[in-house]
Amino acid sequence: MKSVFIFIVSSIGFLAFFLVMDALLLNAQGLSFIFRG
Amino acid sequence: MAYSRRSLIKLLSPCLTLIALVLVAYSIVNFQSYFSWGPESISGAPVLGQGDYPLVSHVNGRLAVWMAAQMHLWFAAFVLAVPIFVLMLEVIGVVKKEKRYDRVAYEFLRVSITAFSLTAITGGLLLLTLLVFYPDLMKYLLSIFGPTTLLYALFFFFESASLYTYYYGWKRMSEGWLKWAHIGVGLALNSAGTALMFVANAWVTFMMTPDGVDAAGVFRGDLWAAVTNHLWSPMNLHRFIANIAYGGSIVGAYAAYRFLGAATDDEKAHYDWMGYTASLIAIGALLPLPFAGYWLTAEIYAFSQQMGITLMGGVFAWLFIVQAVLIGALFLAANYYLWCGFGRSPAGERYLRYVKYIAFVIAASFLVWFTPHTLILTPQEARALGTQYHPYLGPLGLMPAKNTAVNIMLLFTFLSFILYRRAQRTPTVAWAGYGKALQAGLFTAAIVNIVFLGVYYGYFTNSLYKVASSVPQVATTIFVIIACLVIEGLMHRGATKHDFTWGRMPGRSQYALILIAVSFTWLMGLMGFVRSAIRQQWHVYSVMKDASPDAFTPSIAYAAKVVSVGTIIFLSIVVFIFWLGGLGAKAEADE
Amino acid sequence: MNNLIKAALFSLLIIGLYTFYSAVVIPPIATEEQPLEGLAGESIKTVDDLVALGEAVYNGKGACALCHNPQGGRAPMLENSAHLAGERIKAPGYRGKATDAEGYLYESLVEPSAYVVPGFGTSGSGDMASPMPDVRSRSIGLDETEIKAVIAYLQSVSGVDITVKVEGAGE
Repeated sequence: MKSVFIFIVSSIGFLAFFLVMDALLLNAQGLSFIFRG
Repeated sequence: MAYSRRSLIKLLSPCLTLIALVLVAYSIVNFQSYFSWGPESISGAPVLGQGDYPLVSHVNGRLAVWMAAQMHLWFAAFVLAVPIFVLMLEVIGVVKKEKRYDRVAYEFLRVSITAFSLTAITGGLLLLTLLVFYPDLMKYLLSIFGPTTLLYALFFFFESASLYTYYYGWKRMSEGWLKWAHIGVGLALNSAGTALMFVANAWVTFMMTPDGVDAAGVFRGDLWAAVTNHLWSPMNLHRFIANIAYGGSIVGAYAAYRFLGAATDDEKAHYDWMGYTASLIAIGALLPLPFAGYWLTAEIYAFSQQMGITLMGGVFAWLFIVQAVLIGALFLAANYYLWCGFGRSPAGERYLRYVKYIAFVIAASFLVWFTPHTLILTPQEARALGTQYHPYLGPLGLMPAKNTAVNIMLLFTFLSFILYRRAQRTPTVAWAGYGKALQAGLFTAAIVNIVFLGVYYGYFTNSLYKVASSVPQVATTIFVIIACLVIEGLMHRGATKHDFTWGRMPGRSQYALILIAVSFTWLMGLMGFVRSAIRQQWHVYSVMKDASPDAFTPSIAYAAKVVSVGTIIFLSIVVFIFWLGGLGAKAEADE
Repeated sequence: MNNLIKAALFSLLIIGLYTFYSAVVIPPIATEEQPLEGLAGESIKTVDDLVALGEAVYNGKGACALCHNPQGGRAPMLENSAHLAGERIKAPGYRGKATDAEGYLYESLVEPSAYVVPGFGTSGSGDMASPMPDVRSRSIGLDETEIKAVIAYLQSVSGVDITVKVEGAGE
């Protein structure tokens, strides 16, 4: 049961982490080189 | 009998190198004037006509250059990669104090030694065909890059010297400080080889994204600018990593072949281990390659939007579908090989039931990757198109779908790898169950995120974000791989190691390794074609036009046939080299 | 030997499959004709000739539709460009030097960064720099007649009067 709990919590937790990472990466200035030229 | 065979083989390599040097010397002597350079010889790129291209009866000059170049690149990739593994294995052997690493390193080197001379020969052939069939282009390029050819010659001699010292000195420099000196020689070999590649990369990238010259091709005298053009660094990185992947695949195929023919269990075990190690290197180096390719493409776009669009959204977009098919095949083969590897340990049986699910996901991703949704259009058709298909956004618009698929494929291949390692060990830590739950959580979150990024940015946003969304997708994949490896490592501290037998593999698993090597070779040929072909009607893009009678851009079908013929020739020569290497080993054993 | 033959046949099969896929399964793409030299000039006698040349250049040598198409989002649509040109020069943000619609079109072709339509600048440039090259340079290489022809074509497509002058035959 504890494993299932850890699975659910970590899934949601990591997803939240990934969404924040997405936002940061998509808006980072450093990405502008992809579209230059 | 054994003595004469051995000395013959030992002489073969230096003899072949001598032939290569003769080719180069002949080229230089007969085209002396091209090799003098100075400020007075630079007057801009010549404007050529059909008559400026020498004809040799019965020889298609363009095809000759293409073949020579491709052969040279295949051999060069191999001989640049092998010293990297050999050095790494030698160092590991010294650090771990295990003789088997040293033995296999020496075997890799022995097996490949003839390949070095073949690289030199094909290089000499390439030089000669270029000078014969494209004299004005060579004159122009040499007027700019002349000094670099001296550098190239210097690095070549340095590389040859360190190669022969490294190889022939192996047995004698095997103990104490001499061993470390030997490792130093190996390092010199690698440095010289890499430097050679960097110099040659400058020439070929200049032809695509010239710098240091004005629109008429007049050279300003800044050689460094010409060398460090837009594509130089991305090409250096891409070729360096790709060489490692490629070399690993060829060695893997060698090991697979020797495994199939192995007579004793010991031999089987030895070649099974070699094959696995080589494949780990090959697939491991394959993973960062998309980044290098992405950088390459970004720099092409930065230099010329048109060239970039021709590459990705125009005529050559279909070529990337073909590439997708090949990469998919590579992943399928790698996964199959891992699943067969479950059987190396009896405890691996328990993971066989997961194989069908992973296989399903990988096959589905593969299908997404090579299903053609897009119409590839000439500019005429692009204008006339209605709304059902997206001509430019099509390839780009499908990029999120393809990036999604490849990231899922990567994750599930990684899963196969984790399960393979778990087949050999069972964790004993109390929190193993929680660790696995955590990893499952990571995987789930990653899959959801990757699919979300692909679907949302693929269908609901504008084109700029479509490409950008691939970055967080890959970041997710890399994060999961690293995090899971860390958890795995911690979780298996003090784990029970199961009965593990190298060599306990079905014969058909070795065909997966052969498929990987053949596919890699063919893929390299295809990618080499596209790199050259996006120059279209230019020798040096936007600076020097190609006016030869053969200046048409070949179709993908034509290119595929040329690449296939080249692949067959190349792999036959490689088989010959390995056979020679095997003879050498037998001869040594007989003594 | 047996293993060699099996491995060789297997490899040939794989190579054959890839060749088959590339040559037969994917649609045969005819590569474009090389852009013809000397396309312009000799036979331009009427405005219709000029517009026809412009259309040929737009779809061929100029490769305009590669970016100026509805799906790309990379470049503004041009079906009403000649008409919009007149408005653009009057817009408060206009930074270029054109004084009439034809001049604006010409400026957009040879000096695209003189004024960039908001939203279409290279990212990070704040719409100060255009991703479009000067059409006279490098890989597009249009000459003056061809540029005039493209302007005439754009004017024709936009349904406005063609103001470009035809300079008699030849260049």
